[in-house]
Amino acid sequence: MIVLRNVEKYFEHGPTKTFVLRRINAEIKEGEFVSIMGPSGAGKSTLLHLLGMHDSAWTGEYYLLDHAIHKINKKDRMEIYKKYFGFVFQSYHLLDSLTVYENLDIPLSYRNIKKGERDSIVCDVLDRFQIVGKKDLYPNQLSGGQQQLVAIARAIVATPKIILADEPTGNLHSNQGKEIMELFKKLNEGGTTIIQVTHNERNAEYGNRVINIADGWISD
Amino acid sequence: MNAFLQDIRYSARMLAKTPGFTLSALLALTLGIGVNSTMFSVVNAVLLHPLRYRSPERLAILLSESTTKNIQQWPVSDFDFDVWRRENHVFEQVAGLGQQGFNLTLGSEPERVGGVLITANYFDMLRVRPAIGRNFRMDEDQKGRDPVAIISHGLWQRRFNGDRGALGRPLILDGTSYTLIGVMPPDFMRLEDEDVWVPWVVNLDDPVKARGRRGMVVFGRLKDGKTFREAQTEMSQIAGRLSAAYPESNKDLGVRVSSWESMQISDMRTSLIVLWSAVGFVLLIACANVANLLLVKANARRREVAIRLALGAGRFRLIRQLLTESSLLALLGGIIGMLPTLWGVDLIRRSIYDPSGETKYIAVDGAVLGYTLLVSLFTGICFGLLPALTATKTELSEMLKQGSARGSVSSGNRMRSAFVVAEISIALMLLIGAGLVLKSFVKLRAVDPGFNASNVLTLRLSLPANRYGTVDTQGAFYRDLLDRVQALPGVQNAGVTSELPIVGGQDDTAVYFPGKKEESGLANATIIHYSTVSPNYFAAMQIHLVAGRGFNDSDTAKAPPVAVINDKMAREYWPNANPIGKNFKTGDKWWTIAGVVANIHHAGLESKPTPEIYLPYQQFPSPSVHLVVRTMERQGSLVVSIRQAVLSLDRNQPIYEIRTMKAGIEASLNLQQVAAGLCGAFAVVALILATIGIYGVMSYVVSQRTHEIGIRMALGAQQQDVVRMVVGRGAWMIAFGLAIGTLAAAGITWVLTDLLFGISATDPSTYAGLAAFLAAVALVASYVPARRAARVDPVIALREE
Repeated sequence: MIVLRNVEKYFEHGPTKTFVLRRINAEIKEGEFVSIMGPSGAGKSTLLHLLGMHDSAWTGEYYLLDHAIHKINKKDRMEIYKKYFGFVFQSYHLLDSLTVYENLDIPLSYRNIKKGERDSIVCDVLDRFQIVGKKDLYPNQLSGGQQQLVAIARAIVATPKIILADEPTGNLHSNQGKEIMELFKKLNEGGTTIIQVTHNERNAEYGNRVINIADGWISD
Repeated sequence: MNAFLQDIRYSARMLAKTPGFTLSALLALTLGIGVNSTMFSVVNAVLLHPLRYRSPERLAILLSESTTKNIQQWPVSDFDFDVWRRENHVFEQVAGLGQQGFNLTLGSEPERVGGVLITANYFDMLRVRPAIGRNFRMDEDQKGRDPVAIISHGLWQRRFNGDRGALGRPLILDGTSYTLIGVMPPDFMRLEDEDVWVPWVVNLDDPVKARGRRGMVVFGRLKDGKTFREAQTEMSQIAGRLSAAYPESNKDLGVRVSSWESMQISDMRTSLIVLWSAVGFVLLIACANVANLLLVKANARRREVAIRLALGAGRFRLIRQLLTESSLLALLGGIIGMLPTLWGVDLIRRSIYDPSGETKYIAVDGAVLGYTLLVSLFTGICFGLLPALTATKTELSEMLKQGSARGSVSSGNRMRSAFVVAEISIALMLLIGAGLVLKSFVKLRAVDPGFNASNVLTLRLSLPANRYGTVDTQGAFYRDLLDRVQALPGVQNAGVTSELPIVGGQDDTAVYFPGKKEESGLANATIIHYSTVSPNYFAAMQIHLVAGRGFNDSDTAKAPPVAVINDKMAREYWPNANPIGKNFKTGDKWWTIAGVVANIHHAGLESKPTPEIYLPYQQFPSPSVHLVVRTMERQGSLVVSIRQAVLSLDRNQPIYEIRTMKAGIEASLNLQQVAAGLCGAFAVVALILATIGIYGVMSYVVSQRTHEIGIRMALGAQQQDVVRMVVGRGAWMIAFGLAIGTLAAAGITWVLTDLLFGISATDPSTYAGLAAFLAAVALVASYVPARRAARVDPVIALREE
């Protein structure tokens, strides 16, 4: 599903280059649950954001299904991103000024889905995640676990094929973290490919493969 | 549509969540949009709709014009009018008019009413009809028809209580009975303050007289498809034929065809465009202010924008949402801005001296509302675009990884500083513009008119020709009246003049000097202003005698014609000789110069004195005069006594235009005063906005640098070091702003040249004084946040990080 060949990212400081990712070659198949692990500053999140097309300043080849992402312009990449990806952040990144319902509605509205259809999808997701009672609350009225639950619901609301999760339990206590990981597992069992960045060995065990990164290199 | 409504809903919520920001932005926008809409109300009424007639763009004014001298506004003779009307192929209608007031006798007290003599097709040409009754029939401007009149809605209401039964009743005008046949609509646009229209009888019985007597202003409506250029070409050909056929009256006389609309606005165009531009600049300052606020807000919303981008929002979509928010803000500003607009329009209307009542059309109407809507939307996009572009240009992965709103703010700070520099520049430009106009107005008011306007009461009376048609009857009336007024207690001197200086217009006469080959024909004449005055006029006005003598009671119709000229004329026409005893011809008489008086500013305080001739009222009669009365003290009760004196001579003779000379001069300065007031008001608004702008930016800079200031203070910086650092940054912006503003003002104030009096558009003292003033205000605005920064507790500041 995803193939990376010789992907590199670096920052230039005058004549010198500081590499963040070096000669990354990796393949992720459809339906996999992959954990990217490594020490702080290793390049895990950079790789995840590169996969999620938040970053366009890199070299190498990136194939997603039959799309050669490295050959596609920024605008078309955004269309592909909207079609295939959902993103979950460590610090949730819910929009403070919107209610739970509106936070779920936002990704759909950016995909030009009609209001009636959006309402139906959002209600369905609220129901699936058992947060119907919280639909009119604002993020600051929710606990951390509840916020991350909403963030995951928001990530899957547009039925992406791939979920990218950057330390999704990093700000949660262990019980909440466990619930979130169970949720990811369930989504993976339902056919969604999941790629997470984590420091946590136990969270990595929910997946079926680990990619280790150190100093920008894949180490195994 | 749905997404748009959603954007509006979110925008409203965002504005409600940040009331401080919203109120600050609304204040700036309300002021900026409010002054714009106010000014547009004036522009709309005066510049965009100068003529409230149908298809006004096809209406023309036709005036005789000397082809050898630049005298454009020369009235037209009956004969020329008749030829123009018959021989042209470019005008649908050609009509003529001449203004003439009437003494209306109705009820117990006579009233002076403004009137116009019009050819019978005049209203047809304008495409208006009386609201009640009928229009003139086409033959009613021919000799021998029964006199008929149409009156204004105002006169009908005032003197007939709106009674439809008034139609058909007699109207006594200057002692002649006219049948009232119609009442014009209430919104009919009058030329001045006329209330009565009667037919102009085109008299061609005596061809010589019909060619020589010039009193008509001619108007035409172009045929569809014809242009002013074509009209000019054809009318010039007709004038050429007349000139060749009748050289004694028409030699070197052409015709000038002008757009009536253009003529109507020509006096006001520059002033209004300058004022309109000024409010445009005020709006720019308001935009810069709000853009600065939005930049601060955009920095705080970088996280939100990054999340939305990560959720799939396109940049365009986000820009659209941010612009929706700024446009909503501007629309709110526009709506609230209608309050100062209503107040401003009312103030302007009350400030303008308006005897014709035309200022009622300066109003907040649909056009003004539409303009406000457009300006609001444009403003919203204008001040919202840059912050929206900045906010949506973010390093997404870095922003999301950081998980906070903190990022590089240096580019935002640069932009904010640039906005403040722009605000100061524009504010200085406006201040200098306003300063020049105000200074010019002060200088204008300080002009010595050449006479003493204090304690002078003026009033006007016009003697109807059917009872005072001769020199003797007019002279006798004025003599008797002056004797009676002179005898009233409190009166020092009383005189009459046909034209009152500054406020009463000017009459011109064709003058011929001895030695010229021909002593007739306009082409050989020198055009000089003249007035008919009584002996005591110079004393009443305190116009000093320079040489020779003034007039006396022996200068009667039977005595040799004598004239008094002003010093300017003496120096211009007899530069190396004593003018006393010299002669010139005007009318059909040769006049001997008996005296020379000092120059006065007859045409207005802003006009330089020009050559002038004074003729004795008994030798050169005028049916309409201004009575000039110099009094010893307050003149209030004197008016009643003078009215009684006039009525005792003729119970049907009204007096009108009663005011003091000082009030008249004030009225003549009214438009300059209003313009200066508006310029000053706009400059003050600009100053307030620019001050708020620099204060806001310096406050933001201080809040951004609290941590740094804490470190500096922990390292030993004193309070004055911090103040110096913060004010220093502000001082750079101020210095840049002042430098650019000074250059911009020097480059742009030339447009004021025509509006200024006694001061150059690059007057150094105005530039320097206002730059220093603005610098002082701006430094205070940056000093206040600097003082706050200097009070930072380093422990708290460092802990916050």
